[in-house]
Amino acid sequence: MRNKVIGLLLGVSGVVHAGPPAHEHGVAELRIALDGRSLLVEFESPLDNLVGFEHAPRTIGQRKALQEAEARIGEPAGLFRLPQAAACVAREVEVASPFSDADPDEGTHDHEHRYGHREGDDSGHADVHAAYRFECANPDALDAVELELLRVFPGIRSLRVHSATPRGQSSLRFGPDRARAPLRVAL
Amino acid sequence: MRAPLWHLAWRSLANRSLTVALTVLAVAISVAMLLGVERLRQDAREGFARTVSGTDLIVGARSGPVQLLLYSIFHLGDATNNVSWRSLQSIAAHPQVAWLVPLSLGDTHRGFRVVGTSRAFFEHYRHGRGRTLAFEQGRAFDGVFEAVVGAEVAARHGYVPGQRIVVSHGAGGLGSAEHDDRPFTITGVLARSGTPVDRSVLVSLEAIEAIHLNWSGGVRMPGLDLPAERIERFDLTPKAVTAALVGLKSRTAVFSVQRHVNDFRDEPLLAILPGATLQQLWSMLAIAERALLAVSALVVVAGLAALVAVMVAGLNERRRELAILRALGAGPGRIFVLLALESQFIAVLGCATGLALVHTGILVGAPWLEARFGLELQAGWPGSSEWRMLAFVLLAAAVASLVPGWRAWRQSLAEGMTIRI
Repeated sequence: MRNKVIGLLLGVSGVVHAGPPAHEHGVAELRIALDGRSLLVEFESPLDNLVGFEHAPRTIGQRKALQEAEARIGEPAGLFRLPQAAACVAREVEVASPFSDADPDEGTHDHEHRYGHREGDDSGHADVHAAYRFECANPDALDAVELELLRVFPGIRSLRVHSATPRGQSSLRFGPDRARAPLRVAL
Repeated sequence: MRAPLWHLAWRSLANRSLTVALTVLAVAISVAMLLGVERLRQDAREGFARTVSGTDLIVGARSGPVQLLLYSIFHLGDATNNVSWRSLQSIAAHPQVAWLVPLSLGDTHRGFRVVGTSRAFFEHYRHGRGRTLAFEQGRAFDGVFEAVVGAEVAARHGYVPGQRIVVSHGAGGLGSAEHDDRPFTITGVLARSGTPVDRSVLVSLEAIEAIHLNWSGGVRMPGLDLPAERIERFDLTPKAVTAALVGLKSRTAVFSVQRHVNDFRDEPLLAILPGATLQQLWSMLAIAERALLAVSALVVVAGLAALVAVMVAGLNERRRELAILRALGAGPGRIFVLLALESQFIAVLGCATGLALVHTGILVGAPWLEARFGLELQAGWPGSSEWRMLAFVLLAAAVASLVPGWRAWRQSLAEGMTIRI
């Protein structure tokens, strides 16, 4: 049943841009929402972009690569840099990654992340999903986000950044040559 | 005493004022086109962006995000499917949803869209920098057969509160069915907002249900005339609407509510972030915009080519003038600079005239464009992109002005002072 649901969702995800994104290697998605002082950033990417494979790790090298990638995703500071002046402090970090030894049960998860998992399924695709919640003392200073993750994970060649801030909503594509996402509405 | 070169150039131009004026006009028109296209592009974008402020999500039947945005907000194109009322109620009950305004489209009044909605629309719809809709006259609809008209609808047909109007079934036009058994009383006229609301007739959702009560298959059933009093006794809760605007308690929930709607179990639904979708639309249209810009750039090239042609052609007539300058001691270098300066003068004049043309055009054409297409143009000081374009034109003109300069320089070297008449 679950597979069927995912199949259905993947089938339409080309249209539904911020539902489960189309599983397209080389492409990842970052969603940024700001309200008052609280800032939410969601990251979603096919596992292949991060480690170069999409199955349960088979070798020690792959296991290590997976652990390293997970560790990096767990550290928001290494993935995207927020302006110093905004004084944002990470309050909550949530990583949902398939095939991980430390992968917690489905039950402990917010069910919003259910499509992030396809544990143990060697033939299919696998996505990594992460959510970071920040508290920003000076949210007005949040004028742009440096997309470090494009440097950290060269497998991501295109990053779609959706944002919803008091200044408006936007949806733009970024690549390694353009790794600074403005949070002001550009006409 | 040697007159400064620019003075000489200016006097020489003044001497040939008609040719120069025509050349200035050619450059001016090309520059006006370039700047006009850019201004239109920017103002259209701004107008669209202004329309969707204040709404966190738009919910509709699953189709394309851009399509949903266009038919629900901008009344462009049509919906493929409706959203069931039950699903909307369930979305409205989501703990993060602060308000939900349903929209029901499909009927028209004299070519203007009739929008079925709730009174909450007047409270929550925002345009510009968070401005609400204001009433020019009257109040919001209250009863079933009451309507509020937008500023443009009222202006076109001279509507005032108290008047009665009839709604057409579907797109309207010759031979289409009229809901003339159920006229609406206008209760209010909205102030101009520069959004598609100006060109809409707003009624309650119940009214949309009520006017279709005794209809079947797109026509009124003969012999079944329901008096208005009896209609109130029917259950006028809509079964489905076209789309809904959703506001959230916290913006940070926008992506999780969007997922909630997109993963909705009972019905394939789509939720979009209107501002983000608008940007996707612009990136899709970028190719067309670039093509338009390329065409206007080519027109500028044509204008500058005309400038060069006029200057070069003029050299023949000016052999004597240039020869005299040479006789008075002007070196070939000075002749070169003189001609280049003259061309540059024309280009600068052309740019200034072009700028003036665009602004006059905007001042004259803006009311018509706004009435006809809802496009609001702003006459104002040119923005940074327009200055960049002007600088680019002047740079191109500077390069182009080297051609007549070079021709004059060569001519004056080759022919010296021997004039064959």
